[in-house]
Order: sequence, then structure tokens, then C-alpha cells
Amino acid sequence: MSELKYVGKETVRLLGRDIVTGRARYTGDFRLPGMQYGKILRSPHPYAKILSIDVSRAKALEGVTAVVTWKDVDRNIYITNGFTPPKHHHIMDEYVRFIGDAVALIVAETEDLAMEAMELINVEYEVLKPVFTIDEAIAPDAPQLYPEFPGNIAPHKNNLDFEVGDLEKGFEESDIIVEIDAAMENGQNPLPVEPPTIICSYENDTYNFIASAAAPAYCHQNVASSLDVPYEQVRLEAPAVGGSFGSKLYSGNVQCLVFAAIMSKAAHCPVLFTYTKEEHFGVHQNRMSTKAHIKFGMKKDGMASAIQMTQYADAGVCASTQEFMLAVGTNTLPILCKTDNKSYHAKVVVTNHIPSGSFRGYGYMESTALVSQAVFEACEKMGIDPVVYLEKNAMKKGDRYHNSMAGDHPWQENKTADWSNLVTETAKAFKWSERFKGWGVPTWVSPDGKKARGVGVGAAGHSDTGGKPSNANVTVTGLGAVYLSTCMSEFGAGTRDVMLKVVAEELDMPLESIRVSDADTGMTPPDFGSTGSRSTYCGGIVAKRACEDVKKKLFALAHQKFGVPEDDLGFGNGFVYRLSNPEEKYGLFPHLMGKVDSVTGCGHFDGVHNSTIFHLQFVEVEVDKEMGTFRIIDHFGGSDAGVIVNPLPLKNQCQSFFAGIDIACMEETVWDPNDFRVLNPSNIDYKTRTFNDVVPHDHIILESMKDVENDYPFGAVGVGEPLLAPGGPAIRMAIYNACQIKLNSYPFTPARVLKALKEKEEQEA
Amino acid sequence: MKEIVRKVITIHVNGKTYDIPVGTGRYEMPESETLSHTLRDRLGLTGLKIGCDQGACGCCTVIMDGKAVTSCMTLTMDCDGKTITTIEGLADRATGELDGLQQAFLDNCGYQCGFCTPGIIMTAKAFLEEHENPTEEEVREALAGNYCRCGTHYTAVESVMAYVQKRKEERQ
Repeated sequence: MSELKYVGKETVRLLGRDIVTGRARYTGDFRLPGMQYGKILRSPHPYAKILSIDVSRAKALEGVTAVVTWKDVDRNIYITNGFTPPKHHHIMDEYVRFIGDAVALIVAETEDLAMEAMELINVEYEVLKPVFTIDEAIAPDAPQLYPEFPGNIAPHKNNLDFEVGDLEKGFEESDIIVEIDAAMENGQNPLPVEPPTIICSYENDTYNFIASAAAPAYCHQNVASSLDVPYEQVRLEAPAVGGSFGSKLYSGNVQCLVFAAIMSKAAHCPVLFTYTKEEHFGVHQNRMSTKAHIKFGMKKDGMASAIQMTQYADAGVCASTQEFMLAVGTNTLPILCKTDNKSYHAKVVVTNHIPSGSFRGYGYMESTALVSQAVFEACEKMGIDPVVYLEKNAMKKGDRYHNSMAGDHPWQENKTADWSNLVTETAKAFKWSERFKGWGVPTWVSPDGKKARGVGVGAAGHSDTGGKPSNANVTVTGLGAVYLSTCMSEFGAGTRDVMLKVVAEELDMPLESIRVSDADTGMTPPDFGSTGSRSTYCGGIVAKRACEDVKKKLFALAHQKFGVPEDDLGFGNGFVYRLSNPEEKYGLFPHLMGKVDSVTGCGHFDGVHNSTIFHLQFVEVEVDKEMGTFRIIDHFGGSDAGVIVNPLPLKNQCQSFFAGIDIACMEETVWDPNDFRVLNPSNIDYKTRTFNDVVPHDHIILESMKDVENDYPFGAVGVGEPLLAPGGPAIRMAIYNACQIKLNSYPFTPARVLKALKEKEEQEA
Repeated sequence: MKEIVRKVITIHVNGKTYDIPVGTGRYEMPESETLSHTLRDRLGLTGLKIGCDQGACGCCTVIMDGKAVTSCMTLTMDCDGKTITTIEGLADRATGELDGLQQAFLDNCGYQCGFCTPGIIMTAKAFLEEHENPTEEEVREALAGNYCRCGTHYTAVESVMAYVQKRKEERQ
């Protein structure tokens, strides 16, 4: 491969200068002419029927422009992607189904006035009996949430029921079979620092959004479906996005956009609608609670031989993206268990609490925690070193595996990297073989016996990074300006910089000559967006293909005008030149086109089903057995970027693992058991990692595509999304190795650690 | 035409003086207004961000009379006569040249989504004015009130320490 000029070179990110000077514009920074503010009166009951609602006094308040109740909203407006599950959740309804459900929308000249108007609304409710958990929802006599969902189960269209291989034979051949019930119950919050913030302006039969959205076209589609309008009646521009972590993907819970749309149409003016932090915690979306029963068989050499999994996901009040999450989550099976013998069955359940939804590690963060528990159990019982297990079961390049997401062609061959090698290299860098002393054996115990240390490992990934389409256009003008048109938005990873560098590299044009469009769905071709670590691959490849198309068109022009053979032409620095004689050059202007003229190339990518991603983390923890506390004394990650595009932003991505380890350490949405309201809806009460509490960390990043034939954009693959998933399982294992307790409820609070230690003592006595 | 007597709050922001009328009228500032809203909505200084409005994320941090304050927890009524610097006031006003600390954040990519970055820079700026040669640990303590979800916990601190080092070399 020839020397790369731009890929892999450090440059200041496109948004960098604006970020450090405060000039970067996020949705909440825009002030449109005539803009007003939206607020929502919310239900105090988890399940109730609205008997009467009187908004006359609120409407009469000076400065209030619109008040909307369920009676005013078109009954065809549901939260839906137009595909699956069946429409059920009216954006506003006669029934309120969780604490925080919308009762009235208010638009006023100021937020204060809207809040004042809220006090003037009288609502009479008939309180109904709610269901809060999966078990309550599926109980025989459970109250029903939606007529469309008998038994509170949301019918799905994703492949959540499959059996492949020979399960019976697989278990017969197993040397050990474990069966476990595992769950994730704490409803962690993705918690980007910027709360969901939307501006909508309804003009010319179009809902124009400025929205803090991570995947603009995907969101656009879901909003259009929900509003029951054609695609072109929505336009969405995503400016700088203040973090997403799945919560601004809007793959399901597009409520805040639909509310803003209704408000804007009712008030006849642009409306800014932003969630307070309390609403961000209490009504937007949480990671789903889920539980599973897993039967796992393994041979004595550490090869998985069969796995059977049944899983339930708690959608909360609105079923939307959860079945897709479960489907992506099934990728954990081939990622962690190298066996063709498997079955999977899952159901999505609705309950009377905050809707659940995507969180970085879309569905597989959850399944990683569940499956890892079974794998851990089997390895411990057989005395198999977990790293040996991962080395044997992680996919190698070319390995055949079952991807349940891949429609009619589920058997795919991994084309990305040798993940087994990544396990080996990362383990070596962490010095695992010296530090792991065996299952349940601490690496160190304090002389008084009160403190003990242990090591652990967790791995995660998925196998569907590219199974969705992307598009981008590149325009080269007569004067050598280059325009990249993409709706890929920027929420911190440097995605748009990746695409910029790919264009510079492919066209051999300086970075300064290239402009990247706004992420505006009204002016750019649709793209599935920056989700699932797909943007480096898919965004990069369509940018590259658009450039190739531009060059093809320029070469055709050169052939037409000067008779030079197209297969003897190259392009760089604004000139078409002869490959056989680089001195023979044709300038864009005046040779090939006019001054104010251009050639545009289109880049399209259908997506693939054989591109995988994998990441693993090692930890060492020290448990204080007297206090029940633990701290991470070493943390180490391993990733493979294929070829590095943006070195420092990539390093940032590889260090963005805190929400993952803190699944185990501290993060928890605390529910009131009586009504499932969120009891800790603030940045103080919901504990997260602070700057003075960082853990000792290092990582390795392999570049396995360097000088290797591949069909990725200059060899680059995505890295960021799986950074959260391995943390919890690794810590769980490390605590076991430190003090022989198995903790089954996240987070591992001192009370839980002490209880488990006490139970262990009692068992031993 | 009418003449009225009205309350006015005077604040000095980034070298300019603003007289803000206080009252209950449409264009007057209510007494309950916080400094974050005054700066963002009345003065157009949107560089500071409102992340939580609960004083817990530090995104709205500005420097007031030399101290870092969370502007969402500060009533503008309490700021009469105060001198305030926001993120917009750090770079050289005439040339646009970045403050050394801003430059260090650029050079070390001490940001990801960037929403928390203005608050982190302003917190660090106030701290570094009072601490000539802090340790990394002291910087971490100073930033303990700034919430970042992207995980710039390492690179933001590396940026600050790079600036500390550079400033030391320049002053020697």
C-alpha cells in the first residue's frame, strides 16, 4: 500500500476550535425568529384514565400560545417506525401509562410562563392498577396496557426465535453443562450531558427540526412514520450533538421530537423543547431491564459446544427499538461462543414505567453480561482459564458463524480481523498469565486478611456493523473546491473527520480545500447514521466511493475532450494526469469544466453482514471485605482499529469506558417500588465517575489491516461502541477471584458485597 | 412617553458593561433569573452550556471576580457590579489568538462531544490563576464538579497539565 497522506495523521478536529472557544452550536444555542418554548404537564400516576381535563384557565394566561391535550391530537400519531411492533402507543392518550406520561403540552413565550400555565390545568384521573416488572406483566391476571398487546407482550418481526445446528448433540458432547438465570435490572441511564433538545418549526407543510440527533436520517424516518406524514414532510438538521450513547439515536423513542412537532404546529411558531435533567432521567429512556435463562455446554478443552437462551426485555411503556436490540444482542452468541449449536427465543414486554431504549452497546451490552455469566460459571467449574476460553472461542478471520440478523443468509464468514489474536495480544500486554492464579484465587491478600485483590476479563462485540445502507455525495468544482455531502452527525467520536480524511486521501486533495456539509437530511442523501460503530466503515466507504465516482466522471470528460484513454488517468491536487506521463496534466478549469461548474460523484453502500467488531477489557480490583467496597486498581483495554484514521480522537474513544465499569461500580436508576418513579433524577443522586476518581488505565490498539488486502476504507474499522459492554462482567469475575463471591445484581454496592460475603461465611461454617 | 424608576443590575462581562433592567415586564429580567440564562438568553453568550441546571455538571461554569462559579446556581440579582469572564472572553479580543489553555485542549484533543468543555476550561482557568504549579491530582480535584460522559477524564487533564508545563517554561 502506498504511503497515506492524511489517514492516520493528527489534525485538529473539524469542530475543535469551535468547541474550545464556545462557538460550537448545539441545538439549545439556536434562537429562531418568533421562537417560543414548550413544556409538558406530566402524569403523577403510573396508570390512570383521564376522566376530565380543563385547560381553559391555562389557555387564557397572557403569553400562552397553545395548550394541547390528547383530544386535540390526531389519533394516527403513534410512536412507531412504521414496521414493527404494531402501533400501540399514541403520543397522547386518554390513558396515562407511567409517571411522567404527557397529559398536556404547553407553548408559551417563556418557559416560566409555560410552567405557570401548567398550574392552571385541572385533571381528574381514575387510577388503575399498574404492572412494573417483567414477571408482573406476564402474570396470568395482569392488568393489560394496550389492546394491541395481549398478555402485555409486544409482537415482533425481528428474528428472535431461531434454532440452528444440533442442540441435542451439542449438549450430549459437552463435558459440562450449566444452567443459570441472569438479569440486568438497574435501568442505567445513558446520560449524555446535553439533555434531549429539539427545535421544531412547521412551515410549508414540513416539520423542520434542529435536533440533537445522533443518526439524523434514521431519526427523520421514525419521526415521519410516527407523525404519519410522508418522508419529505420532515427535515432534520443535527448541529453539534452533546453526547448520545444511544439515547439520541431515536431508533425508537422519538417522543420528544413528536411533541415538539405537535407544539410547533399548534402554536404556529418555532418551538424549543428541551428536557430538564429531571425529565431526562425520569421520562426519556433507560437501558432496558432484561432477564434470561441460559443453558450452556462446554467441552473440557474450553470449546463451547451448545447454548440455549431465552430472554425477556422490559420495554417500559412503549415497545419500539427493544426487539432490534435483542436481535443485535444475539450476536453475542457467535462472538462469545464458538458453536453452531444454539437456540434463542425472546419476548418484549410492556410495563408502566419509563420507556427503555438504546444504550451504547445496543442490546449486546445486555446479552454480554448475561452470556458471560454462564461462560464464567462453566469455566470456573472446569478450571478453564477465561483467557484460554476467549482465545479459543473468539472468531478468527474467515471463520464461519451464524448471524441471525442476516436474513436468508445467516451463515457468514468473518471478514474483519482475527479477534483471537486480539485476545492473545491484550492478555500479554496485561500480563494475564502471571496475574491470574486460578479461579477464586486472589492475586494478593493484605497481611490482616481484610483486603484482597483479583483479576478479571470481559469481552464483547457484534457482527452486524454494516448491515444497513449509507450514502454520500462528493462535488468537485471547477476551481478545485471539494464538497462532501453527508448527514452523518458529530457527537464526539470524530466521525466527520474520518470521512473528511478519506475524501482527502482518495482525491489527493488538501484537507483545507474540502468542506463537509451540515448534517441536514433536507440537503444530503439518507444514511443510516453513526450507530453501532458503523460510521468509520460505512461513512468512510461511501465517501471513498463518491470520490471514485467523481474521478470516473472526470476521466470520462478528459477522454471526451482530449481523447486520452480513461484507464491511463489519475487525479490529484486538482489535476487529471496521465499515469504513463504524470507531466501531462489537465486542470479542472479551464480544461475540463467551467469556473462555476462542478462534477458530482455518488457513493452508495448497501451494508454487509460479515463485518464484526470485538473489544475486551481486563481489570484488577481490590475488595475491602470489612467495608464491602472495592476499587479498580488496574484497567486495560484491547481494540483493533484496522488502520487508525484519527489518532487522538481514537484514544479518547478507547478511554470512554466509564459508563461500562460503572454498571458494576455505582450507576443505578433507583425506582420507587410503589410506583416506579425514578427516585434519583439528578446528576448528584445518580452517581457517575468524577475526574478525581479515575482508574489507572492503559490500552492497546492493533492495526491489523495495515498492508493487508481488505475492502474497508483504507483499512479503517469502527472501534467505539463496544467500550461499555465488557466492564461489568470483568469486574464481576475479578471480585470472585478476589474473595470467592458471585454477585448477580448490578451495581455491586457495599450492601450486596457484604451480604454475599456473609452468605459465603455461613456456607463455609 | 412615560418616565419610570426601575431597578437595574450592572454586570461587566468579557470587558463590556451591561445594565439589565429588573422587573416583571416582558423585556425585563425577573428577580428569579439565574446568571446562566442572563448570559445565554439576554447577552447571547451561548458558549456556557446548561447541562443539568442543578449545579452538578459544571457546564455553565464562568469566572466571577476570579472564582469559578456555576452560573445556573447563581442569581443574576446577586451579581451587581461583578466582573465575569465567559469562555468567549478567553481568546484575545483583538487578534482572536487562543488562550494558552484553549490551545492545549486543541493540541491534546481534550474534548469529545464538547458540551462540557467550556465549563472544564473555565474551571481549570480559574484554578490555574491561583495555582502556579499544581499536581495532576490537584487538577483532578479542581475538576471534580465537572461531569463528562464521553470520558475525557484523561485527555482533558493531560491538556491542563500540558498547559501548566508550557506556562512554567515560558515564565522561566
